[in-house]
Amino acid sequence: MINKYLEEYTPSYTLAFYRIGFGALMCYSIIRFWYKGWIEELYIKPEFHFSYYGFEWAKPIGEYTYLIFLLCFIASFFVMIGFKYRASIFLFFLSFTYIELMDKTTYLNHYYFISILSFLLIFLPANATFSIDNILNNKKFRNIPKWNVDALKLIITIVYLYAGIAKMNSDWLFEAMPLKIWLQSKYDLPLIGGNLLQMSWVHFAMSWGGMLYDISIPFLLIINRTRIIAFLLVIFFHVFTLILFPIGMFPHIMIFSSMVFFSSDFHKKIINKLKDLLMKIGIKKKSNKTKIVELYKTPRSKLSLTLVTSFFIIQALLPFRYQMYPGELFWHEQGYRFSWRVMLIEKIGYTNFKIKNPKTGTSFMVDSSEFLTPFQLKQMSFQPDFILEFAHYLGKKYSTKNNSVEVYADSFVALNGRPSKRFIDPDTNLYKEKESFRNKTWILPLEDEIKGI
Amino acid sequence: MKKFLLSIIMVFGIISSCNDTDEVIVGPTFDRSILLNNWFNNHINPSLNNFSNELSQLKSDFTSAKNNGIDIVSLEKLRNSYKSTYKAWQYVEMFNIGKAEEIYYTATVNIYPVNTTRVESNISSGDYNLNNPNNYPAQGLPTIDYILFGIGSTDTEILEKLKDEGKYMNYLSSIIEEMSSNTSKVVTDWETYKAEFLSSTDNTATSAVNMMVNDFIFYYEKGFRANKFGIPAGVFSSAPIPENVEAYYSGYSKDLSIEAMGAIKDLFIGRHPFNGTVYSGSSLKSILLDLDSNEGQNNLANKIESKIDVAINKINSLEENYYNQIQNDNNKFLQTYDAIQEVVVLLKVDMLQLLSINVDYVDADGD
Repeated sequence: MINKYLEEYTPSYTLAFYRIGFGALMCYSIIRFWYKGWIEELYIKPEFHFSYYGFEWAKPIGEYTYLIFLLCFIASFFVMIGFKYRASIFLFFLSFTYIELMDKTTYLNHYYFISILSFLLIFLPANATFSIDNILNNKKFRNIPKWNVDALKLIITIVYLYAGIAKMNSDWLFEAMPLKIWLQSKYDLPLIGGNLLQMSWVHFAMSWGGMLYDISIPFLLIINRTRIIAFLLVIFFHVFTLILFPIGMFPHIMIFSSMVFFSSDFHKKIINKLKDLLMKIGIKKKSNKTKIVELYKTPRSKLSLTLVTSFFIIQALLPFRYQMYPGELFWHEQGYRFSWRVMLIEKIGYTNFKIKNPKTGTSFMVDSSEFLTPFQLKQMSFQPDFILEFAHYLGKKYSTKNNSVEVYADSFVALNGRPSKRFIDPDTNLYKEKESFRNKTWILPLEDEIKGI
Repeated sequence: MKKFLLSIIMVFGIISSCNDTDEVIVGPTFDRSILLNNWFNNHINPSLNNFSNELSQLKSDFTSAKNNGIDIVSLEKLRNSYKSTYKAWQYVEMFNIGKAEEIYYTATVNIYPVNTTRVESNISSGDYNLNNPNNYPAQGLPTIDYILFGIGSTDTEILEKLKDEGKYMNYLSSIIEEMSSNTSKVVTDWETYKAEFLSSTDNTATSAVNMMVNDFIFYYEKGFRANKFGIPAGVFSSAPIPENVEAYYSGYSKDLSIEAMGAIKDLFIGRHPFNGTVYSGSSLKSILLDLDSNEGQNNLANKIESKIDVAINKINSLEENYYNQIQNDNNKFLQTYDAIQEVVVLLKVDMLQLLSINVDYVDADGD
């Protein structure tokens, strides 16, 4: 049965459509990021950067960081036009992922989504038709294996489904938290801010609606009869979040991505319109010289399939790794990232560090704002891995050759409307603790349970 | 599929119908414009006027001392009006907003410790620019503190120096003048800024409510907690630095911090700082009382107020001069600091969360 499935084909327009849109959105994303001065603000100005465990080597490279963004932009552009597609999408994946690895302060689920999506796209023949590569190689393909398109649909399904499952927790469903906090703060929004967004039933309706939307939308998109409604829902949902939250490019990317579920006739229509447009402005000339190949054969197809399958197995399992850590996930955040847990927690922290000289017994508090930007300070204050990394930075800074100082955290955090609680064991010398995947025993328990998956 | 859609609609129906009956608005519905009006009419405006009046008194006492020749009587008079002015300042420092922020008002009035080397070199050269940020610690109230109390070890010595060629008197004259002119800039600007301030009720980083709350917390943490207690107690250094207390030379540190804590409490609970009446309408306390569903002592508003009171009691039990307190029993001083610190957590974490104040640290995307 699997073999039979692998031999099914689908028109190549769908992937070409996706390639063009993805490339264009990425070009726009990078220009926007650059234009807003965020490269400077987030990567060049700060003197210290928070790294992912194992990726401490990935740091901004001063003014040259702009070159990485430039590279990423060029790669996006080449992906869009389908020029040396494989190399370009590979370069895009590398440069974009490097940018994300430079500082985890900026971690966003949708950046992670773009990273893994571009990884997947390396294996998909998105340049099979309507690409510069067709002209260069003098051939194009009418059909591509169906699993190529299904792989895209699957990754989008995983994102929605897991986001929906993550919302099935008692804070989200029975306290309407944190939506309640966020919606209430939008009192200055015209029309709905002062009344609707302040009402309790609206918070609950939006919490439940959001959960049901996430778990059902991939299936509503797959089924022919519900697809139109589903797409309207997608637009409504994402435009709504766009208005309410500073969510950047994510709504645009998701609205666009959901179009991959449409029939290939739709993609063909769009591409033909684009062709007409290009011909009208004289960029494209009608040529019949290009050889048309009916079926695209995946080169080294076994390897590709193995890699793509492993990729999906990892994607399916990674969000559940939190099960290996005791205690409340939303509180200790061990295994929280890379799992489509979107907008689930409202956390404020207040964390200060005490440097103790064990030889003299004297100690002093550090003014962390001397080393961190306000944004880094905010993120550091409620995430244990940030706290540990910064404690090590301070420990190194204040230790001398023959006297290693001790670093203690004085840390308080409030989660989803609960009163603040001490977060880190104040008697643990964090400079002695090492980062690892093991449970961090120096995180104090929440002493409250958030039920759910 | 139809069944599925139907069940979605039903769930929505159930949720909305069981909550429909009491369509109470539960959000932070506090009227921000009332809050801003209260802050302006009961705190900002009277505090600035009060400070400005005390400063005028100081100025006129100084002028008459200067014109009639300074002696021990006029020195004492000057010292008294200096003390009243410094006390009045404690109600103003937290409002670092608008013109005050623009002209670094608080930095020019109250950066301590005073840079005495700089003061002396300014005085002997007679050539200085008070607008130069390097001269911020060589002007304002801490410099007056130094000149009226610290330039000699006895009053006789101080008087001699003050009389000597009038150099010190001239310097006093120009820093008092600078404070007056900065103060009137701030006061005048409020006349026009007022309208913009009172109508700025939205939830952005630059709106008045958000700026005021952030300034208030910043002042409590830095201007009050760290400057008056933490730094001299040695919290941020490996040893105490008692000479960094506020008003080191006159030794008025306790009086000043009591005034400051009073001003903080007044703003929080909604009490006019000078006539003592608890006004009606919004204050941070009344808003938190409403917002927090917990009752009694578990309500955040009451928690904060009682922790403020604990801190006030600790402050009251300290010696008049914090320099002596730190030298004699720094532990007691550190315990006071800890009590003050406990309030910071509640303000910065719990209160900000409940108020849904957007603290936009950086203009970046979220998800």
